[in-house]
Amino acid sequence: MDRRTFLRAGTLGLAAPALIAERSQAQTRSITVADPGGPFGEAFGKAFYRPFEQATGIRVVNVARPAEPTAQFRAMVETKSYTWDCCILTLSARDIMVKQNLLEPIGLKPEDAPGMMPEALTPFWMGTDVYATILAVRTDKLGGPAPESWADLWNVAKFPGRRSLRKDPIDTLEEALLADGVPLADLYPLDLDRAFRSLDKIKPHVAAWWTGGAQATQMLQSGEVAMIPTWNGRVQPVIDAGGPVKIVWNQGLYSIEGWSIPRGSPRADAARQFIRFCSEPARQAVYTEGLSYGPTNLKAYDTIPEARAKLLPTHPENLKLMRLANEEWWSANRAAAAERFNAWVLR
Amino acid sequence: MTRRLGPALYAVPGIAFLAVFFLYPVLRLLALSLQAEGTGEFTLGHYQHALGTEVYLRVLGITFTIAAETTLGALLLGYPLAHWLARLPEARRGWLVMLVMIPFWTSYLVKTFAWMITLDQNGVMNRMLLATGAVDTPLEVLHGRIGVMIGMVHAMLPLAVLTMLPVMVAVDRQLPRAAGTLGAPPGQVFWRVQFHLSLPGLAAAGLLVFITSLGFFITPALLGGPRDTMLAQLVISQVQEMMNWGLAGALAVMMLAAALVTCWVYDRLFGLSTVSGQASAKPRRGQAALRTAGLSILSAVAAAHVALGSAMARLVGRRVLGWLLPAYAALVLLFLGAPTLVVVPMGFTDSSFLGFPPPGYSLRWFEVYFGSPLWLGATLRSFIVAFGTACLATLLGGLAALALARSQSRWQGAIFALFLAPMIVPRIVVALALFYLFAQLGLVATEAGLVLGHAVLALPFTFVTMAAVLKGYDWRLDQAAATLGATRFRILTQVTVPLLKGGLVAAFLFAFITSFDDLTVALFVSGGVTTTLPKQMWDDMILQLNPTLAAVSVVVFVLVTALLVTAERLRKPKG
Amino acid sequence: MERQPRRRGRTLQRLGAPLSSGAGVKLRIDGIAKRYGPVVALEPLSLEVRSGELLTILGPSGSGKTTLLQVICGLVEPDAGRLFIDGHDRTVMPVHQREIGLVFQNYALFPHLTVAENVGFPLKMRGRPAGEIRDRVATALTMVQLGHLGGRFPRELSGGQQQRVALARCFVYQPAIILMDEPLGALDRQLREHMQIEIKRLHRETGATIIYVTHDQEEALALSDRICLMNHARIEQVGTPQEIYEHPRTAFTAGFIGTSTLLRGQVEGDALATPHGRFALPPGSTATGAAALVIRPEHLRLGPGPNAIRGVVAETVYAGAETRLLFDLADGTGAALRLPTGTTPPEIGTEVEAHWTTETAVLVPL
Repeated sequence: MDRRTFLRAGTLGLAAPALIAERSQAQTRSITVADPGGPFGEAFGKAFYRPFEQATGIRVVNVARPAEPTAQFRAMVETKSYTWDCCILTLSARDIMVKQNLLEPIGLKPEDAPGMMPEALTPFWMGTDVYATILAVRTDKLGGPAPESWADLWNVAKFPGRRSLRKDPIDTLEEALLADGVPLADLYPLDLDRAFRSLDKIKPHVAAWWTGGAQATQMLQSGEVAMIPTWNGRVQPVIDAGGPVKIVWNQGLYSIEGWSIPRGSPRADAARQFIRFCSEPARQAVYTEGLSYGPTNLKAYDTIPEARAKLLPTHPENLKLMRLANEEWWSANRAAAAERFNAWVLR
Repeated sequence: MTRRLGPALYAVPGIAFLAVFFLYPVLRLLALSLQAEGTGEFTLGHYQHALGTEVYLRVLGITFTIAAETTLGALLLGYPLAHWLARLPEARRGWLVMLVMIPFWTSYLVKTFAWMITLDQNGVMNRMLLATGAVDTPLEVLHGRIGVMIGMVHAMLPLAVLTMLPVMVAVDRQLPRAAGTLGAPPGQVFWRVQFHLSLPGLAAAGLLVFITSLGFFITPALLGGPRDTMLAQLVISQVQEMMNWGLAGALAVMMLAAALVTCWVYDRLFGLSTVSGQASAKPRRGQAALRTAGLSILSAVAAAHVALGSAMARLVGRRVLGWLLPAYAALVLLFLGAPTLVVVPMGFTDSSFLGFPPPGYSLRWFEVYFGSPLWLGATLRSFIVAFGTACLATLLGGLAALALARSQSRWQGAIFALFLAPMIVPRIVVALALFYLFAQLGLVATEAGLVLGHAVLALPFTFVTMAAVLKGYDWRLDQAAATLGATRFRILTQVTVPLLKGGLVAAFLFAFITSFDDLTVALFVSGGVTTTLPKQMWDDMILQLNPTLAAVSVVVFVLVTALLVTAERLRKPKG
Repeated sequence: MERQPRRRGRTLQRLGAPLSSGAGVKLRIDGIAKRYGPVVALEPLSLEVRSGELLTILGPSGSGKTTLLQVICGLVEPDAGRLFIDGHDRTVMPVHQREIGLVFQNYALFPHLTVAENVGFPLKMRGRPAGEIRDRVATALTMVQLGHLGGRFPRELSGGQQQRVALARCFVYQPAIILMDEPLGALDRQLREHMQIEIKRLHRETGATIIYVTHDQEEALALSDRICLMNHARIEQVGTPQEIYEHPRTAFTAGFIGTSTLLRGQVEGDALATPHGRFALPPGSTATGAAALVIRPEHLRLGPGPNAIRGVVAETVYAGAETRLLFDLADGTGAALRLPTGTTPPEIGTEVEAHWTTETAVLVPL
């Protein structure tokens, strides 16, 4: 007996039938969706949850999910105890879970969502927002000109100042290759040897390695570092609060996160209905008021004020400077790359 | 037969609890490390990979080094403080112990960020040093081992002090005087009598701090440098990001094995039961040699101390020397309180960011807190869950400690190890294991599930605390009650429990804090629906560090101080 | 050296069946034995305690007397043997049902309860009504002359007062048997003698059956109706203080109770051959082989006689009513005698000769 059947047998034996009945009765009345939390809850509430409730009468209960909710997903599906009906997944989490057959088809075709970026729609997932890894610069901490590329970040002679890199191979390896002169278009497959050679050059000049987004924001906000690659959404609040910070979109890497449904959810139909609702450009435009993330339905820009639109990753001016991080390469090579990176960083 | 087992039966509820909510789910999860992904076939592949890849062994080494350094730091800072506290009058000691516990009441997330704000290039510390001209360029304290040490030693100090203190208090106050009358100068008295007698406490504190430190990951990640990676980080990454549970299990087993080896060595040297402050009963192999070596070291140290002491006394005078210990203790207390001193003003900031000192003051973040049903609900739930956890863990841990104190079973060592085990297993493993179990029991996203999960984490602390207190308990009072006609139950409720109130309150507080500060189990078991305070804080800082965190910390601090003052009043036996 | 306990090997009564022997027997111990691992705490032993008597269990530290006490009150389960109270088998009855009172050496007063609450504790455990508890506590406290201290906490009392509270707490519920474990051990001599009188009075007034454990032979002689002398986990001798003192059956008894001169030797016909000479056996002596003559100090007189020993004065101890003279015989054996008041003791180091009359000595086997 393998683990899954073992666990499932346990479930059938142990779960109280009354509980199951209670849960299935609730399915028409409300769904539980897991978003990244914090300002997401607020912005999505205004853009998606409340309007969906008004339109359908199905209540949306939103909870915050951890950054990579893969373990929760697997546990939910394997034990058939669905605490979430719908969850925001990153591309990497999506790919892992598609491979492990943990997702329910969302049943949305491209023709159902005109204006949607082609990479934002797959059978098991629909992207809702685009975020970008960019270079953030504290303009007041630079003696001279501001860096404009990853190569500039690597150039410690011309651009003095404290720098921080992310202690994770994702994005950091790309940055190293771009700094070494690899063109944005030819980035993948990543040349690991070249990337680590490039990283060797910058390592002695890295004042701090960050591990969490809040930490990166804090270091930028306090002026602890002058240059830091991080996510644009983490930088915007500092700028909004009057911080002397500039975003370098050039050579940025963007990625998408969006809704998926755990396989076997008893409320999957309502969840599908909800996801379709979230594809509407008018709805997506609303959340950009509170979040500096790019709508995946580019028609949304029709209603977003230009001043705000310029701050978003999917604004045409920004989007053309960047490329999509290649999730296929990553899902195939992540474990090995991570082990090599971890070993390298310890040296 | 049952009569003979009598007191040992008290351990049964705790053992059963751990068997169901800890051993079974955790072993089931760790078994995944022996199965091939997908097929479920038996394989040693995960272990071969873990042991064959250099990075994991190196990180294990780093984990041990950091834990050992933290232990050393916590003992070096904590011992003099505990020594000083132990010699204070009881009433004053009670209040000062509360100061020691203050760091407990600020979420470790907030504490860690408070250290970042205090220590970074533009932080309070560097600005003060630059202003006074002590340094020309800002000190690089963060992003390296020193930063990790500051954060981790600070987090572990209360545990170290509170473990050592009862042993030191129990040292007969006549003995140092007796040694003095026998001609020993103060330095000799200290090392040969007080220090020697406090060794079990020191060793116990060392083990508890060491094992707890093994599981840290957030503090080294935020305050450390590139080389300060701990194994728990990699386990979490394997569980969450790579979804390679087999390898995660293998890494967890590696860590567990290493921790067990430490426990085994400790048991050989000191006896596991000394963790609760008991003098080791039977002489152990190798102990005689260790004792001889230890004694000769002690005498050398004592001689050096006496020489140095008299030289110092000539130099600065005895009065100044006498102030050395209180001054050191005060500095350590200041260190303990530092993050709280930083966090409280930040709660009243008018800025949207955490920074010290705040640019201006306002109540806006308190308004956010008190205006948010989410925050208020999370606070209330955290208090309820922590209260439930504390009741359950104190009951189970207390009964088990009672069983151990009252029976001479040869299973004692095993029982001890079992009750300490939840401390050794990485929390993420416990959390994930519990999720599976709770999903089957319909306990996911329930307060009951949180209480049960937190009780697993809190049991080692309540058990050890109660075992230490029971050591000093006069069992003849129980016998007296029995001869006077009290049944076993009435002895417990009318004699034992009232007399152990102090220890029970301490155990209760330990369990309360464990639950109140837990994020890992909450992340899994709450399913996001039943949000606790640490989880709400975590969710809230996804995008930015929000001063609401500081405001919440202030509210919690005020609530808990009130709670502690009440507890301290309760702790004092009447009359 | 050791007599087998007399009742050893006697047929054991059936479980729970009333005992036929003697209506006056309150407690009967039959073949009780206890070991802790390799350590024998109690050899199989038997003992009877009569209703209303004060029996002292006397013995040096480690002789097993405390274990015996704990077996009687049920705190320790015996490995073998039976225990009858009022003729009923109580061997396995739990402590709290035995109706046995125990006064602890360290008093074991509950520090979290007041004096009155301490004394009322056993009544509360028996579910007596509050009014009755109040009255009986008041009576008991008055009995031990502490009527005015009911509201105090134990730690506010002196050692003697604490001991009286412990006594009151025991007498208040009129247990069938009261056990006292060296209750006066922590008190100074004067207080101890005072409390001994107090205990005798309480015993007389209440008619309680009391088993009193002590290592102090003077206390045992002063208090007891009978003494049970223990040594090496066995009963050495049971008897009235007078019997024990005047007719010790073993050398241990002779040595433990009072200071005696012990002359060791071999019985040869009607005399004992010792290194100090051949001495006539007292009448009624039965011992053969290795034996010793026990001579109490009050029976030894200075001066020559038919049974005489010689030695060198080692010490003289002035004790008010008498002066004790300690002298060493040739082989180092210590001897002691009493000088009447007014006699000038000989100088230390001088040689003395002392004698006794044959009837006053006791012959014990070795």
